[in-house]
Formats: sequence, C-alpha cells, structure tokens
Amino acid sequence: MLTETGQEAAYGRRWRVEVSEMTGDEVKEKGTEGEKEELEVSAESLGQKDSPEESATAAETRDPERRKLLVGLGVGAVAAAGAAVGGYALLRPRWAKEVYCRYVAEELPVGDPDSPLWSTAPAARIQMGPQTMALPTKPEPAVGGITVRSLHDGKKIAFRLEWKTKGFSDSTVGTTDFRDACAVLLSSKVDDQNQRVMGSPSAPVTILHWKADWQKDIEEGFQDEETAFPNASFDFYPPLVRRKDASRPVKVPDEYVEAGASRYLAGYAVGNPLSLIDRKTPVEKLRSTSPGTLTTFDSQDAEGRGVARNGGWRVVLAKPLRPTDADEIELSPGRTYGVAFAIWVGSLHDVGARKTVSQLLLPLHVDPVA
Amino acid sequence: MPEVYNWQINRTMQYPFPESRPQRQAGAVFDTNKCIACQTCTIACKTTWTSGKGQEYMLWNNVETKPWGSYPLAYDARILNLLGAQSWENDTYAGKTIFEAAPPGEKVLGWLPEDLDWAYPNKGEDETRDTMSSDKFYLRLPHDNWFFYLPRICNHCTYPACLGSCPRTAIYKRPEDGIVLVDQERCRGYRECIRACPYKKVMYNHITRISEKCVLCFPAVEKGYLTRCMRTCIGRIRTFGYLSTPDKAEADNPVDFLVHVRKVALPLLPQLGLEPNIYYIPPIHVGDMRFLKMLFGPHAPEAVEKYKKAMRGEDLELLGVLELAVASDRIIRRFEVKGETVVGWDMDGNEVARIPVKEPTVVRPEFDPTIQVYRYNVC
Repeated sequence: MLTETGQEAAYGRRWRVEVSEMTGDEVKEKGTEGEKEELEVSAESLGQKDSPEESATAAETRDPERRKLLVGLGVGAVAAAGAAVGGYALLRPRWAKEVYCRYVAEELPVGDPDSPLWSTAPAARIQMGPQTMALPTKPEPAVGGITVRSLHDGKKIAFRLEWKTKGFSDSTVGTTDFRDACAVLLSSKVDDQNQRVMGSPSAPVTILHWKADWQKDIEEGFQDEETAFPNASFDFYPPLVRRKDASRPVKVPDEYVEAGASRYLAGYAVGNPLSLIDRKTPVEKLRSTSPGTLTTFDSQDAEGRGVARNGGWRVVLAKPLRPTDADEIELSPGRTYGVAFAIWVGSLHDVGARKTVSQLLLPLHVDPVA
Repeated sequence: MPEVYNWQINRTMQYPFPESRPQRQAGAVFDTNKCIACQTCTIACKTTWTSGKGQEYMLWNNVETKPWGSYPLAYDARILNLLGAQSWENDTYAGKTIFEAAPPGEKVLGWLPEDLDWAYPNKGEDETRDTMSSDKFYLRLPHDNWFFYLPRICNHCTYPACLGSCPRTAIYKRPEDGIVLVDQERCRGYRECIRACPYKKVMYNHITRISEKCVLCFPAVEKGYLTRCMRTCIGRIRTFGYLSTPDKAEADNPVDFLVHVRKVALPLLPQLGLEPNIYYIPPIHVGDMRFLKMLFGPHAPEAVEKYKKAMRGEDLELLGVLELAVASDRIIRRFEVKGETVVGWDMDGNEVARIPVKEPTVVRPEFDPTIQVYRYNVC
C-alpha cells in the first residue's frame, strides 16, 4: 500500500491525501478508516503532551517511600490527564480538505461496495453537519462524518460512501416510512462555496442520489402495499371490478393498465420518476440550480449499490464521466471539480432538506488517465 | 416571511409567500344542520377519485361526528394543542397562526399522522358529547347532550399550509379559480404538506409514493358543474360558488350572501390562519357554545341566532338561498327571492332553478279512513 508521501510522489500532486494502511478485509474486521484515523490522532497526541517521565521529575523527593508514592500519584494523575487529552483527541477527527479520485485501469466495481479495488483509493473523512441553509432545516446532524473513496476508469467515475447509522430503513410505502439515502453533488465551480447549496442558475450542479428503497425494489421486487400492510383487506377496486380472482392482491401497474385505468395511479400515469414500479437503478441522476429545483435528468445512466456493513451503509454511486444530458457536468481526467455529500437517515424521518450535509464544497481531483 | 392580510382573523399575518389572490375563488358553504352523515358524498368522491391501489385509506371527502369524531385521529385536537391557547379580541385573532408559531427551522407548525391514525374514519360516529341520560334532552334547544356531523373536504385555502410548506413548490393554487392542486409530476414524496396541513387533507399514496389531495372536481367545475360530493348530496346541504373578499361581496351571489352579507356561514378553525374557503353554518342545537367558538370562531353564536330566525320564517332571503343548495347540478352564480319563490341562474346566466322558499308541508291525519289504518309520525 502507498503511504501519504508515496502517494504524493507517485502522482506528483500538490495536495495531501490520506491512505489507509489496511487491506479491504482488514477494514471489514477493524472498522472504518475514519475510526483508524481517529486512533492515530489519539496516539500522536499522547506522545506529544504530558509524558509520564516529565511528571515524575516534577514529583522527585529524597524519601524513597514517599517518592514511590508521589511518583505513583504523579504518574496516575498525568496518565489520567493524558487520557483526557487523548480522549479529546479521539473525538477530534482529522477532516479531509479534498477528495481524490484515483484512476484504475480495471473496470469500476459499481455494483460491489466490498470490492478490494476500493481499498486502493485514498479515503477521505468528510465532516458532516446540520443543514441550515434552506427550510425546513436539520439542526442536529445524523452523523458526524462519512468516509469517501473515489475511482475512475477513464469512462466512469464512482464514489463509495460509508457512514454509521442507528437504524436501517429501506421503505417508503407507509406514510411515516422514510428511506435511507445518500447523495453526491458535483459542480464545475470548485471555488464557489454557494454551489454546495444545490447549485445556481448560472451553474447547475449534477447530483447522484442513492435510495435504499429503490434498491430493495430492484433486488427483491417492488414493495407493494402488502409489504407494509400484510393484514389489510379491501373490498374491491371499482376500476378493476371485472377481475376474476379477487382473492389475490392486485398487481400494479399491470392490472390497472389492462383495465385502461392507470390514471388511478396518477403519479405512475404521468411518469413521475418517484412513482416508477419497474426500476433499473437505485441511483437517480438529477440537476439542480437552487433549493427546490431538483429535477430528474432525462437519461438515467447512473449506477450503484449499497450494502449494510459495520452498523452502517457502504454505498457506491457512479456515472459516466461524459454527460448524456444538457446541463449535466462533464468530468475530465486531470482536472479538479467541486464535490459535496449528503446523508438521509430514514428512521429519523430525514427527507428532502431534512438531511445531514458536508459543510464544505470540497475539491475533487480527478486523476489523469495513466 | 412576507406579511399577508387574512380577513377571517381581521389582521395581517406571516405566510411563506406574498399575498396573491386568484381571479376568483371557488368555495362552498356546508349547512351542518342538514347533514345526516349518509356518506353519499364520501362514496361519490371515493369511486371517482380514490379507487386506485395505494389510495384505499384516502377519503378526500369524509363526514365525522363532532365532538369525538375525527379523520385522521384527533387532527384538530392535536394541532390546537400544539398551538396552545388561542384568543380573540372582538373580531381580531390575538393568538398565533400555525405560520407564526412555526418552530425555528420550520415553515409551519405541524405534525405527521401515522398510518393507524387514518384507519378509523368512523371513530366517534354518532357518539354524544356525554353519556346519555333518561332526560328528554331533545325536546328543547339547545341540547344539553349533543353531537353533530361535520362533512369535510380540502378547504382550498387562500393561504394553504401545504403549498407554503412544500420545498419544491409542487403544490400550486390555480389563478383562475383558487383550486389547490398537487403537481403529480413534480411531487417527490417529502410529505411536508401532510405535516403542515392542519386539516390533514393531503394524503400519501402508498403505491405512487407521492402526495395527493382533493382536486375540487376541477374538470366539472371548469364546465360550470358542481363537484361530485356536492352534486350527490341528498341532504342538499352544500352551496357551491365563487367567493369574493368581504369588500367585494355581491349580495346576489349565494356564497357571498351566506358568508359576507348574512354572515351565517363561518370558516373551520380560522385561528390557524389559512383562510379556508369551505364555510359552515354552525349547528343550532349544540349546548356548549365554547365548542362552536373554538371550531368556527367568535361569531358562532350570532350565526346560530340568524339561522334560527330564518327557520322561524323571519328571513325569507336566507331561507331561499339555502333552498337553492343542490337544487341544480349547475353552479349557481346569482339568485333572487321573488315573493315566496327563489330563482337561481348559472354562470352563463341561464335559469337553472325556480323553487318555493318554503317547501309545502302537509299535516297528515292520524287515521286514514280510505284504508282504515292509523299512521304514526315518527320524525
């Protein structure tokens, strides 16, 4: 594995990157890179401040017994102080100032968040915080930080986001069911922090949005009403009054389409992307020019997949480097863009603007193709 | 937030958008004294609009029994509790609206019902305020022990909380008639509208996973016809029309007459600040006027007295307007009481109703000699 220095030497970049020393398997066993990073900070702090030797000198005395006692007390006190400082350091992560997208010659593991290839990408620990720029706000962030890795193969770019969660939610069937989700915002304006708040009319941003419920719909079949209300019964649906077997659940949208009554599934009938029943991807590709302007792109060529790992989500989101829609960002290897992240925790009723967001628009350095 | 004028609370208030009234505002008056909770309106709406999978629980029109009924559960009590004490100083509301009481970081004071809250549309049906006794309470007005029916649809408010709370402006109020609609292409299922609407008349579709609400049968209304719930009202309790602001009230317009001229029809929970456009003639038999003031504002007692006066035959004009309710399936734009007859004209100026102000009554003798039977008058 590369070290920080080696990484810099290898790529000749002015930016510093943080690289995990662990393999992919080790990461699974020991936890996220963020945790490891925090431990490194702790050890560093303990070594630099309040060493036990310095304290023992201060407590020196001629009485051997007393000296032993005082030394013991001193060591204990300083150790406690050291632990406190170390504890503080433990809680003080080192946040990334940028995200580095590494080039790989292999095909990107867009459907495999556990692929060993991900451990070759530098990990960036992103500070997350409250969303206070648009109403409604989310004043209490659901997570303090997320770990991001990024790869590209000259054709596609992919991000892997990891975060801890206290509860998993992959349904939006019930009125109070909200999904877990995450998003990557990509901007061509790397120095404009205003871009973080959903872009601007002069510079639309491209957003990749992974949804846990969409993925479940794809992998396990559309989550019909029966999944949320298994014991519910309904006499009959007037538009389907001629259906022969009333004992089995109505299949949507087929039965409504066959009956010429799809207008009773209004969102589906008008083609709302949120109301699709046969989905192809759990990652939606959108454009935005300000809060409230999020719009699904015509072509949906974003990909990805999430898995539950280590008490949290590990999610891959990917898109082609070249745009397929007007206003979509074009990413060129060797250049730098702006990137921001957002997390929704469904069990906290996060939705829309009720999200935990990265506090800065960070530079995204896209590695040149080797 | 911009300041807007809400005539129902007689003051300006804060709202997420500047004041922008439609060219005309569709509205209605429901006479609670005539409603028998037959639920024909409910079923007419249900079969017309919410027969899809994912809409099973939805009743864009519902009829609940007050004081105990509610759909969803305790929708009114919950928002009133959240809002705290509400007080009026004469005609002016002195408390906070749900926009003014919004917590930091929110646009509106609201709450999100759970699925089970929608599961009991008949909760409290026909339950009286207190336990029944052997006392013949019904022989005098008002009743000590009472209940009444409250039919409800979306109020198509002048200041809709659903519209104000939507982060995507996916809800809009049509400039031509003030009907409030959820754009089915634009909604992303955030459910902010469901949290915000205090009347809880925006609902979540379990299949399409976006919000839906009463559309006030706009395809019919655009052609000058009544909505399904009103057209099918067998108690003829509903007067539909286009409501003016108080300063532009037209005395020959049925809804203007009821709301602004006679002031017998009152908004539901005006203190919330939405300026709802469905109005209610309060029930005359409710023994506790505090309840009616809470529900319909400080003028409930006067409205009750005016209605009773009309029922005594002392206000033929008011009686005439009430008789015109659902006398035609056309929207009645203009009325006139001529002697003991009331006439109604539709939006195009066509006469669509001509009926007696007082329905003829016949007192039937107890004994019918032609078939040799006694008859009992049971109601």
